[in-house]
Amino acid sequence: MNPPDREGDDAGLQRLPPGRHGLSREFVTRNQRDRLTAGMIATVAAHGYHETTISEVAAAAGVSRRTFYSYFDSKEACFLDTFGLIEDHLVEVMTDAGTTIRAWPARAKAQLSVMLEELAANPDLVRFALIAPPAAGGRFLERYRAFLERLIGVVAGDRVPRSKVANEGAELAMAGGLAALITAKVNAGEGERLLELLPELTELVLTPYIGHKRAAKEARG
Amino acid sequence: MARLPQALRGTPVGTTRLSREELSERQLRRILDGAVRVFARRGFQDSTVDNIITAADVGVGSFYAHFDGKEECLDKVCERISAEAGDALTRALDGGGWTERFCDGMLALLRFAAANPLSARVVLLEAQTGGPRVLARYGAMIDEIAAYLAQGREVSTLDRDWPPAFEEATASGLFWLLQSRLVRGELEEVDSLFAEMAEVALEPYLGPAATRRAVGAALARAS
Repeated sequence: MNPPDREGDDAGLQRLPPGRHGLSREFVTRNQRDRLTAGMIATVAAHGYHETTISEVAAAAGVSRRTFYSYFDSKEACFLDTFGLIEDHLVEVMTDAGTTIRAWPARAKAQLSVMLEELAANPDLVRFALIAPPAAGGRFLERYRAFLERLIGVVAGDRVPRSKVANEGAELAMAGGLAALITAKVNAGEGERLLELLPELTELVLTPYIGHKRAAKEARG
Repeated sequence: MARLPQALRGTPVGTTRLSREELSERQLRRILDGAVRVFARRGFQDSTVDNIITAADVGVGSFYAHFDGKEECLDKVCERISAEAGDALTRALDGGGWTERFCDGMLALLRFAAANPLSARVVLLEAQTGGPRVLARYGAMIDEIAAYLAQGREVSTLDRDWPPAFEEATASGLFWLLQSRLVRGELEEVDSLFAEMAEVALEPYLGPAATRRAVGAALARAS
């Protein structure tokens, strides 16, 4: 665990030997930025986007408002940056989980599994990325919809053979179903047990591509 | 005794009360009409009471005589739209079994949405952002559809197990699909959207062939 950094902790930097300043500053920056990200997630998860203030985010991160503004121009910028980090992280772990499994339906299931594991490890991610944005409305809602469709794209996009989608509507609808099931579980206070959803989610996600019979078999197998 | 000019004479009490109620009713309608336009165009979070009274051409006092703030206004807007959509639904339902009623009802609701795109936007998108009361209303719509869909398990002749929260996922999925079309401004193509949604909703219980027949029959009934 890192001790909370003080605002403008230049004394610490000055004590470092010459030539290491750049690295150290980068480290401090990274560290403060990470803490702001964590503070943003925790605060939005607890109160929702519109109810979140920059002071609360800064306090949760253990930095001053001034430090907040040295990284982000606005609450919205911080929110979107944080959202992007979560999205990229999930896409990365899901892509990694898929690299070792060649058969497509099995790969999709493994990817959904790591996604649920990541979210179960910190259900605040669900509150931040799936529950808060629809309530925030407007461009946040659009951002959230794009996020979910990107995750579905990871799971379904590189399937081989590239089976035809019978119904584009069914593919879209499945993204909404996925969000609903995960959200309901977290709202029921069972966020740590998200992995229990794996069979149901697998069936839901695979059905538009391979039909419900095969999807159910893959899901329960 | 001097006679007052007609314009300055008081009107009988009964008439005044009636017209005041009428006036208030008319004002309320104007505010709700204006609010639908404002919420749909600006988004609920970016809408202010000031925007609403400007759009409705009423005074700020009139607004607060009816609502304690924009949340309550959105709640009443959603209530009115639900009632109108409910009327359209009732008119469209004319007997039939589970499948026919679902098809007729959904087609009627989609046509209502296509004819009233601003209302559709408020109920389907902005309602999610309007705070706990309106959000509960939104959740109740999904639950109602899910409960209706779940009866499909009894009707189904397919040999199949459905996962526990299957209908909740389907109903949320239908909303997602509708919202996607709404955002893309593609709500006008009601018939093809209806066919897509019916497929998502009914195929799990009826299978593909019977679903296609049900869609065709519903479109024929409605034309």
